[in-house]
Amino acid sequence: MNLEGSLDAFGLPDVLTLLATTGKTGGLLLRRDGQDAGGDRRTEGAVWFRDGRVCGATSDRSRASLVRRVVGSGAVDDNALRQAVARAVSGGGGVARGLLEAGSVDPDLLRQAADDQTIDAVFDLLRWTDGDFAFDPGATDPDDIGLAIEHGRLLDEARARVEAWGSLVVVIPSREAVLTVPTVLAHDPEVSRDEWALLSLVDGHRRVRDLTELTGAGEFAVTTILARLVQRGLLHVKDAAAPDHVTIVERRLGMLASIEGSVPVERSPEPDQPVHAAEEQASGPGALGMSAAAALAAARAAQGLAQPGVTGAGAPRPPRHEVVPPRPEPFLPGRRPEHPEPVPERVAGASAYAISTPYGAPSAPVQPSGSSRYTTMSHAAGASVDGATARSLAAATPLAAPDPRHDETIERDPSVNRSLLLRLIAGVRGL
Amino acid sequence: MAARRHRRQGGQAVKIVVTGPFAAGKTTLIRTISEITVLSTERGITDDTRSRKAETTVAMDFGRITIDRDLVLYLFGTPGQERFDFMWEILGEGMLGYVLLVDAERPETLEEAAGILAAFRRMAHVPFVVALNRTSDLDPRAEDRVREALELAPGTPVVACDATDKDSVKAVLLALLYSVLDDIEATAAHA
Repeated sequence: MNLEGSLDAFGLPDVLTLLATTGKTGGLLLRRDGQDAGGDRRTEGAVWFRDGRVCGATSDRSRASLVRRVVGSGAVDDNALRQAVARAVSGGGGVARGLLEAGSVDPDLLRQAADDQTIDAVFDLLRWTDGDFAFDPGATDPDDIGLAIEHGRLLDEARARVEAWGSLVVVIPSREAVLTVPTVLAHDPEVSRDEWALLSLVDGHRRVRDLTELTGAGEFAVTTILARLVQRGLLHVKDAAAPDHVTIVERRLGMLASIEGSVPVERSPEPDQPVHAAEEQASGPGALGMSAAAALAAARAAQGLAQPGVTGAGAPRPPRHEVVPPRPEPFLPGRRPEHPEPVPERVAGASAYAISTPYGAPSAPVQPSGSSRYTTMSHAAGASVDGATARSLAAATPLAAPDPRHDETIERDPSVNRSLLLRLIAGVRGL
Repeated sequence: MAARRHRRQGGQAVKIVVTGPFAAGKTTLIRTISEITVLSTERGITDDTRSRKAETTVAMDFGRITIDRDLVLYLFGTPGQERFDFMWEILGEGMLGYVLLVDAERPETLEEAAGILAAFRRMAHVPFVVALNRTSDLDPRAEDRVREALELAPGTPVVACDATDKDSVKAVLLALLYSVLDDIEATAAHA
C-alpha cells in the first residue's frame, strides 16, 4: 500500500521524519488547490529522498526554482543555459544537473544554491495548511545533484524561517506589495552588497513577487532583506493613496509664485489629502540641501515625466484615438534612439537566399543550422547597423530553405517575461 | 565605434513578424514605425500580380525600434507571395508574436489571409493579432466578417489600422504586446 494522505491529518514534519527514518528513496509529492490573481490554481510540490536523506525539494514543480536561483545569481551564461535547457527539453534530466554535468556552473555554488532552495521549498511547504500527499518510490528528482540533507537539520532551518516569517509579514504585508526608494533620508545610508542588489531593482512598480522572481533568491531571503531595508527607512512600502515626494514639492513651490513673479511649477492643490509620511520627508534635511527646482527637474527626468501642462513641443497634444485600452505600465524614460542611423543602402535585387551586404557584394548564402527554438538574439556588433544587424539576424534565422524533416513548433521564447513585456509596451507607447 | 559595439553587447532583442496577403501593406507598416530605413528586399513583379503593385517583398522587410539601452524590437515582414512561404518559418523562429495584416478594402484576400494564418498557427504557438489595414475605425460588421473568415477565437484581437499612420501602427503593436502579456500571465496562472 502506498503512503498517502491529507496534510490536515498528517503534518508534513511527521511524514518527512517517517520517510527519513525508514531510509526511503523516492519522491513525496504534495498537491493543493488554491486561488491566486489568475483564478483557480493547483500547486504541486515535492520532496525527494535518497536512502532517507533529502536530495531536493520544490514547492512548485512547474517552476525551475533551482535554475532560477542560479540564473539570478549571474553564475551561468546564455549559451550554457540554452544548451542545458535544450538538453532538458529533449529528455536529458533537469537543467541544473545539465549545467553541472557540462561544467557550466561552479559545483560549490550550485550545491549551496540547491541547499538553500531545498530549505526554502520545505519552508513554503510547511505553510501549506491543506493539501494531499503521496509517496512514490519510483519518482526521482530530475535536478538531483547529489545533495544529501539530514531531515532534522532541514526541518529545524525551515521551522526557524516559518517563525521569523510572522515578523516579516508585519513589515512586508504581501507578495503584491510595491516598494519605493525615498527621495530624502535622515542619515547617510549604509548597505551591504546583498541589500544593494535588491535596492537596485526597486523601481516603484515592481512587486515583491517580481523582485523574488528577478533575483531567484527565494521568497524568504528577499523578504528578509526588504524588511530590513524598510525598517531602516531605505525603502517604503508604497501607499497608492499617498502623494509622492515630487507632488509635495511641486505643491509647495507653487506657494512661492506670488513672491517670485514667475510662472510657478504647479500641480492642482489637494487640500483634503491627508499628510503622509512622504510629506514629512519633504521637509527633511536632504530637501533643503539642494536646489528644489533642480531636484524636481531631476526627479521628473528620472521618471520620464514632462513638466506639468507643457508638452515636449511646447503645445498641447491633440487627443489620440486609443485603439488599445489604457493599461498600467511602468514609468520609463521617453524613448530616444540611441544611435541615429545613417541612411542605409536599399537592398534591391537580392535573392531570396542571400542578403546583400551594405557594400554591394552579396553575402554567401547562410546554411541551415540546428539553432535552438528558444533563441534570444544578442544585438549585432557589426560596423553598419542595417547590414550587420541583418546578417546577425540572418545567422540566427538562416536564409535558406528549412529542413523538410524539421517539424518542431515555434514556441514563445521562455526568456520573455512580464517585466520585459512591460518595458516593450512602455517603449512602444513612447514612440 | 568601439564604444558603440560595447554598449550593444549583452543587450536583448525581440522579434515581431508582420505577415499577411500580397499587397496588404506589410512593408508600409514597418516603414511607418521603424526608426531605421527599412531593409527591404523587393523585386519587380513578373507575374500576373503586377497589376496590383510593381514590386513585392521576396525575402523580408526588416525594421528596428530601440526600446531602451538594452532592448531592441525588430520587425520582420514576410514576403506576400505564396511561392516564398518557405521563408515564413525562418522569419518566425524566436518571434514574440505576429501581426496578420489584412487589407480591409480587399475582402477577396481574406481567403489568402486564412491560408497564411492556418500555416502560422501550425508553425507557431505564439499570440497574434489581426490588423485591418486602411480602416480608421473598426466596423463591427467588418470585424465579424473577418473573424468568421479567419475562424478567430473570441479573445483574438482584431484592430483597425492605417499602415501609413504611426499612432495606428503603434496601436497594433501594443495590441500584440498586450496579447503576449496576457499569454504570459495566463501561462503563469495555469502552471
